Amino acid sequence: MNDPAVLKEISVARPGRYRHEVSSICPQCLKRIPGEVVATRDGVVMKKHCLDHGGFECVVSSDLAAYERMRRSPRIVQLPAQPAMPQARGCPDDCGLCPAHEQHTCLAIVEITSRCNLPCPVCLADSTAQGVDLTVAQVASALEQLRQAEGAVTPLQFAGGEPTLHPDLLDIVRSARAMGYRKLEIDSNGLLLASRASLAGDLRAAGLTGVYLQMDALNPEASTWIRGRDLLPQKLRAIENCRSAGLQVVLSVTVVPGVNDRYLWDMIRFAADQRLTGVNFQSVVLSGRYPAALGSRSERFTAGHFMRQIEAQSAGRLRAGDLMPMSCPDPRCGLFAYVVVRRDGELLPINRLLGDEPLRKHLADFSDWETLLRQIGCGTSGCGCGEENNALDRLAELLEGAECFSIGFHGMMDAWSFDAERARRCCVHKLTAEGKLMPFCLYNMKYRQQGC
Amino acid sequence: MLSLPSKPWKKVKIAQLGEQEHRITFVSPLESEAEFLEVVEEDLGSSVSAGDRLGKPDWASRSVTLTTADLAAFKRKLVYASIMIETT
Repeated sequence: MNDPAVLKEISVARPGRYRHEVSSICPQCLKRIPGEVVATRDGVVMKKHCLDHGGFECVVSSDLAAYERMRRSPRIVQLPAQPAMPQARGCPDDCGLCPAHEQHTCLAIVEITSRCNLPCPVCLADSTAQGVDLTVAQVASALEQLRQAEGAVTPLQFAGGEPTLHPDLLDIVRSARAMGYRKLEIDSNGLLLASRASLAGDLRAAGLTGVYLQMDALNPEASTWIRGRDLLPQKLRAIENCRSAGLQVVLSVTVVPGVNDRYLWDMIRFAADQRLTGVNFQSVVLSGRYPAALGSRSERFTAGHFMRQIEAQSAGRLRAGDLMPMSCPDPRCGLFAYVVVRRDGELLPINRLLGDEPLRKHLADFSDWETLLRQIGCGTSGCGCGEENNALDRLAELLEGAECFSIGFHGMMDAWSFDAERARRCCVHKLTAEGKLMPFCLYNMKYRQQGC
Repeated sequence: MLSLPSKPWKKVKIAQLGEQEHRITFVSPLESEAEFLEVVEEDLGSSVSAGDRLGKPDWASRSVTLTTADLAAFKRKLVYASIMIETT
């Protein structure tokens, strides 16, 4: 078998003339405008022109090979069981989801409060201390509509604002659990999880399964730039409280180029050493609230940058080819690696043992290690249904005394980088109080400010 | 925002009692005796080979004895039943 960690060369005829058309929006008026993606010396760039507001350019990948590797990666498509609204004006103006949408909901994000207890300089939701909470009944109604639209339950993330501020969070979790939802997470800054030792246990008892813990850096300077202050002691306490309660913890790192993009490997190493469930990186976007200095810079952090940085910072322990484009959304939207933290602490991406193909259908938000292990394990020697497979035997040996871990990257879009094709294929959906589903990036750039 | 795959919840330790006899002890929390018995019957039961034998489950110690001539095969099947093995 070829080493899957080494990227295959992608041949692109006449890269200097590479281009494809996109349907995008104007970052100022948010009206639909055409554009094109071209290869330049600075990377792969989206160029577009609004008749009212002029031209715009945005780097969408560090290099053409990375961009095309992701763009050409195979997808696994499952349409929503029921479109919620007719197609009228076209994407992105009909959002709800309409029949043009090309992927079901793998993860629904329910913002149960707009209040937050941390005034971060960078905030997608532009949350402040003042705001409104959804009622338990509103959340239950939205979840019921989601279940009908999807034809099944999906993983849920309760977000905000800061969801732990919601006075009825436990009831909301219990209610979702009673409706059959099984994978329930909160997207939290961890401050209350740190200060109230019993909260994590109460949430676990209510049925919460995990915490998506915002944590951008170990060093105080980067944390202060992104969150306003050093939060490491609180994060460590929150992790300990969650772990003691039996909650799965995924670190959520917002990557700001020039601020914390040098510390990606440090965050992976930290999460692995803490025996957490995984770490997910997402590029900062120019949606919501962000420092003016960020908006005036042309620097972008894309999936291509992530692959190159990981390989360089880890000195090859993780390589670009270990990070597989996700198969459920548009492959340009995400990268993912299933990793074993070995007994000696070293990381082993399991595609190096198994190859990419057995993992491809598990590169989606609804997947988990249990499903993966049960499905691939069907080929182990002695199970009676397949031939002997040395790679699977080797993986089983490695997993003894080891930990399962994963690394993700979410290449979020904003109004500068918006590509309607990616939005139509999105599987990470905002669930509104009215039960409408929208691609999360699109919601942030276009619909949040309309108060949807 | 993505939802990364949950890790397997169940973990066991395996201690050797005799030449072919081992004690399997659950170290991850189990909510009830009924859940414990179900896991033993379904997950451990599906991981034994012909000739292996599981003893009577003991809820108090969250353990069960296993008699097997091929512990490596049992461990392999356990991992693919999504039950992790702790070694310390």
